[in-house]
Amino acid sequence: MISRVFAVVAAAFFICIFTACDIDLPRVSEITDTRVLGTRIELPEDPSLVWPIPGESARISWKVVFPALGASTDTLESMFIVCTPAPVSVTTPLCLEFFSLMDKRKGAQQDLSQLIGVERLTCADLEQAKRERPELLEALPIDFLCVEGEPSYEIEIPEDPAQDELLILGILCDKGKAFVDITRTAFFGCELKKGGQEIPVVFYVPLQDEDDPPNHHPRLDNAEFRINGRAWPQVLETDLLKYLLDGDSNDERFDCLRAVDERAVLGVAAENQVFSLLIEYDSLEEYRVRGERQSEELTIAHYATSGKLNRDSSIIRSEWEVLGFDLEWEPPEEIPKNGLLTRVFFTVRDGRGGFDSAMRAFCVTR
Amino acid sequence: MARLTVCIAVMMLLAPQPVEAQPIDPAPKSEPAVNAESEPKGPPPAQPEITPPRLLEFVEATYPKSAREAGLEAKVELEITIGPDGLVSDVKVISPAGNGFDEEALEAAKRFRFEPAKRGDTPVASRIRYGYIFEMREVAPLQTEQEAQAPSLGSMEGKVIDRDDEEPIEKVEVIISLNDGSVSRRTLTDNQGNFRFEQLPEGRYQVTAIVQQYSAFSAEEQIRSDEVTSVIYRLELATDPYAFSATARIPPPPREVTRRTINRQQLTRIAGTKGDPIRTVEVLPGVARPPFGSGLLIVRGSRPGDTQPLFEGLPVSLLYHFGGLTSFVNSRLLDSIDFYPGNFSVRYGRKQGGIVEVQAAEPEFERFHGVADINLVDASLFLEVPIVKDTGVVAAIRRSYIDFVFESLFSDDTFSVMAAPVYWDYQVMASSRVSSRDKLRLMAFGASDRFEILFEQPSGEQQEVTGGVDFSNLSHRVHATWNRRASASLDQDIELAAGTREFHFGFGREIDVLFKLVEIYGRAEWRYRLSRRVTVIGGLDLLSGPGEYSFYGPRPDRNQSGGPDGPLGNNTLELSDDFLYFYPAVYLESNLDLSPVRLVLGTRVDYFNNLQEFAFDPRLSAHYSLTPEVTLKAGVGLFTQPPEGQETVEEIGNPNLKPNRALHLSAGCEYQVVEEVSLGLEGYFKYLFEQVVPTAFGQEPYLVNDGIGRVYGVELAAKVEPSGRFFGYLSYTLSRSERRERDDSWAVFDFDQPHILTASGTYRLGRGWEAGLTFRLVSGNPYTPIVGSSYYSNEDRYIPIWGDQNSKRSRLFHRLDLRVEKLWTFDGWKLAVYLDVQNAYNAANQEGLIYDYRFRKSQVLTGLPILPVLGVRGEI
Repeated sequence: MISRVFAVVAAAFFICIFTACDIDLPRVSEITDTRVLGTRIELPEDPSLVWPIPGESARISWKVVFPALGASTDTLESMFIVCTPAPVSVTTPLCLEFFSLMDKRKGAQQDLSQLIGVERLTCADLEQAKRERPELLEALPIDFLCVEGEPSYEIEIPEDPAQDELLILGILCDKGKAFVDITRTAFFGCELKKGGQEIPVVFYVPLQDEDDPPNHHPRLDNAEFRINGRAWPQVLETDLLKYLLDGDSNDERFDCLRAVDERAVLGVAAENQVFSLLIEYDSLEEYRVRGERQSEELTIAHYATSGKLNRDSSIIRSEWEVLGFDLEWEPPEEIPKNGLLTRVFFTVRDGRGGFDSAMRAFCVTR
Repeated sequence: MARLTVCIAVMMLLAPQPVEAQPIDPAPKSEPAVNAESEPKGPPPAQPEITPPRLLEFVEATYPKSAREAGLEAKVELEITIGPDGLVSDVKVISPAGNGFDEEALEAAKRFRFEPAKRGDTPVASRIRYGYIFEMREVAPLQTEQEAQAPSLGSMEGKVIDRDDEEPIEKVEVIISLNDGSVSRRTLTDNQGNFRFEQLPEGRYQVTAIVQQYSAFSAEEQIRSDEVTSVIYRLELATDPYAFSATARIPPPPREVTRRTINRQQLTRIAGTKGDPIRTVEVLPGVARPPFGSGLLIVRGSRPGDTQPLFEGLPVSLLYHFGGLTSFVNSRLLDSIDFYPGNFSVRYGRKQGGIVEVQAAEPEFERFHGVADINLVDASLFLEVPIVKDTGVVAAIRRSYIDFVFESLFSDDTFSVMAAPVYWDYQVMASSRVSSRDKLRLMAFGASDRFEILFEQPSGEQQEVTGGVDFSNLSHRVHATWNRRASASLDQDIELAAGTREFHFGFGREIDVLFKLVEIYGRAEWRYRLSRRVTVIGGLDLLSGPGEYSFYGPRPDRNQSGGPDGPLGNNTLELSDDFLYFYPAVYLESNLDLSPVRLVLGTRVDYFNNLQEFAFDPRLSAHYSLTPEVTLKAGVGLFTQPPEGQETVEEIGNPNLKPNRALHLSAGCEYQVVEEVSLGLEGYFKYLFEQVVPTAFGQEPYLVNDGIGRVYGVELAAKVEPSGRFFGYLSYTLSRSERRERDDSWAVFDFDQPHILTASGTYRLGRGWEAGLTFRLVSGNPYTPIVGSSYYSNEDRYIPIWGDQNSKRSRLFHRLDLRVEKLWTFDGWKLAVYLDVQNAYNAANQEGLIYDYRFRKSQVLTGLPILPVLGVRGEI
């Protein structure tokens, strides 16, 4: 294996050396369609805590962003299952409960459709089955959860979970109907309308161990954002819409210069901009692994609705003197005469389930 | 077989070799003794000149039968007393050689007849030292020019020049022999390439010119009375101008169905290899095209790890620097590469694919030799130094300078810390023929690859490489070999080797792998000729050593759908342990020569201590000489390969695994069209069973022996040997390699390449120019498509959803490589400039697909673009 790893790394290295200049694929930091940027767990008693306590409930919220300002989560329909993660060593996470659906002698899947009589179950089917044949769904080892609109819902944590985490598998359908079909490799799917999009998702929910101190979400609400040294305040999408959608004609519709005039957003010239982010020290928690004290390392992902960022994510380590970083943004070649509103999304993860997000916006002028 | 032995005695008397001739003076008071090595003191007295004796009649000794059968050679030092009448009055052995040589030399020398030594014109008794040499050569005894004093009527003069550059060649040994054998003389050319023979009797003569690095030259010349025959002989550089060894290797009878050998003359001259000898294996049939830059050996549809590379019989894990850039051993050190694509002898074990054995050349025992090679990638120095008689040392060292180029390509602020990529290697070898029966060889070699980049922030689009990437590989080995001809019918080889290896791989802060190993290897083999038709070979071999490892990173992915078998799982794993592996084996083989049939029956028993398993591998191969030109061959055998070390680690593998097994079947024929041209056709079938495969969905115990495989194909090979201006290969392989895991359906193997066509040729144009090309046309590798992806929210990345295993295939691969070299020969040294152009027409061959971050869009990843490599090589 070592030889193979070595060979693969070497091959990747030389391929990169020789061909990297030809790669032209979409980048993760470019928001060009509906995207999920992360998942936040919140406990009813204290929303700053990350790890749900067995026997209690927790709210799961998926952070969804759209490339178009003003697009809403109303077009979303989602389906999820919450299960026990199977102890497998494949990259695709699996529910332990799936294995009860398998013929272990052959290792083959038994068709779920034989159990429930249909091959594909939409949220509507499940709702109908819940009303008309609840015994059918009760025979299944997993509960299906359908959500319309904003994908945020409460889950109940089992009293005695089999693992120290739960697994959430699901799908978000933008302009479509979610369904489950066990004959599909992806398990879930969407019946999409024109322009629709499906986003299968996976999330592990870490559970509170009674021996461990609780974990708190890292915070971006008290972080300091700057553009080229200027303070970069937060702005709500609703405020942006207020300024941008006031125009009478389509040409004037996205007049972000108006927002600049009203000081709702910063105006910047169409040239490279340096974003700076500084976070508070209390966002980095300390914890112990086998008695050894460790400090969190934060991973900050950044996304922009236009232009290019010089990298897709940044890290912050506790040992640094300044808990922050600089990031460079390159404007697109074409800037509309009324300015180009650009939203920049930031997400932060502590690597232990903690998550937070923030948005900033600016108007690029010619 | 041609006449095996002819004994010759090379007369040392009056020849350039040191000789003593001492007159035995009956009146010592007035006649001082003459000693060729003594210097007269003071002004020379006015004394008559002393003429040493000259051999007039040589008597050939009988070659001792047992010594001849044992292939022994010897030199017996004699002291011969010659009377004034020229007859031998006494002979004594000064330095005995044993094995019957002394008696035979004495007997022959007693019958020598001399022209007596003379003081002035007076014959006197004398005593000389004489070395009687017994050699197994088909060469007639020679006389020196001085001794040939027979009446003559003609003479001959000539010049010897290089055929390419027409430069004179000095120190060419020119031998002239009258066709009836009555006259034979020799001389050496001067520094202008001139030579001359005087007083030759009239007649037709055979003239031979011999010098190192050039092909031997022969011509028939007519000498006439009172005439001077003038000639110019143009010598052609030997096919390999760098082949210094004078040792003729006669391949032993085959112990396997197929052995494909690339010898020294071809190793560094095949286009597309950048002069890298080990890469030449890739032109042979049965060898699949490795992914660009990987250096993997994929033989007859087997996994890369199923084929064992050996260097001087010693298992080595990595043949190439940086996976495939250049081989770890200096090309000048190599003699040949033997490739066994399957059905190999029981001498080799622990592998179920093939064997590639790289052989080092014998060091030069006669003179100093050095080569410096500088190209765009690395520089190397090779030295060959004779120490004492029959003992020489070879040393080679190489270092890359990619690091200098690399650092200039990237700005300082791209990386926080950067080291390398750098590779270096060294080899030192001493060889000594300690006696006529024993040869010792000591070798030390090592190699290092290192590459490190540290990022303060994640690199571009790869947040996984936060913290950087580094890998290093360092190994050292020492290796001792003792070959002994114990008797006329028994040979013994003993090898011992020890070494260390350290491997480290880090990938950001996510993966850290450290692996340290002490490697101990030993082999003892005895070959006993029971009779003319039966040889029995027995041997022991041992692979052992302690080691330790540590691993930190995600659990290795056991994706059942052909996904990456790499550390891409979700759960972090931290492992460390030490271990001791002990793999002894014993093998027995009998070679039966039942002309025209030759059978090789062998059995090998292996033990694997970590599995607590024995393996029993019987093997049989047969050759049938249908005609002198056509040989039919077939073989069948079992092959066993233990799981890789990490596969038996409980946390990620299964400690109860059994070895992988394979059954090889093959049959074919070889046709020697003419002396230089041969054709071969071979079909094979391999059934793989008890193969280690992952469990369904990677559940515990993660790995089981539930895999099977089948590989079948036909190989067609044509080969032109490098005896003239041209040598080349043409090979075509049609094959299929499939695997089945558990009860899943059959799927083609990851490197299944149904069609492999390779044509390679090298032509010596003359005047030091040489040109070659290699063309390959190969089916694209299969791959597993990605049919979707899931957003993995915890880590803000996407997980691919795989389609049917290996259900798609990359585009057809085709590539042309060219090589041109110009060699200048100067007085005592040579200079070569070469240009090796890989992918000469810049074909955009698909090496794989690269996906966007959510696996929706893909782009073809192409391999090597056109790559010209210019190099300079100097040689003394």
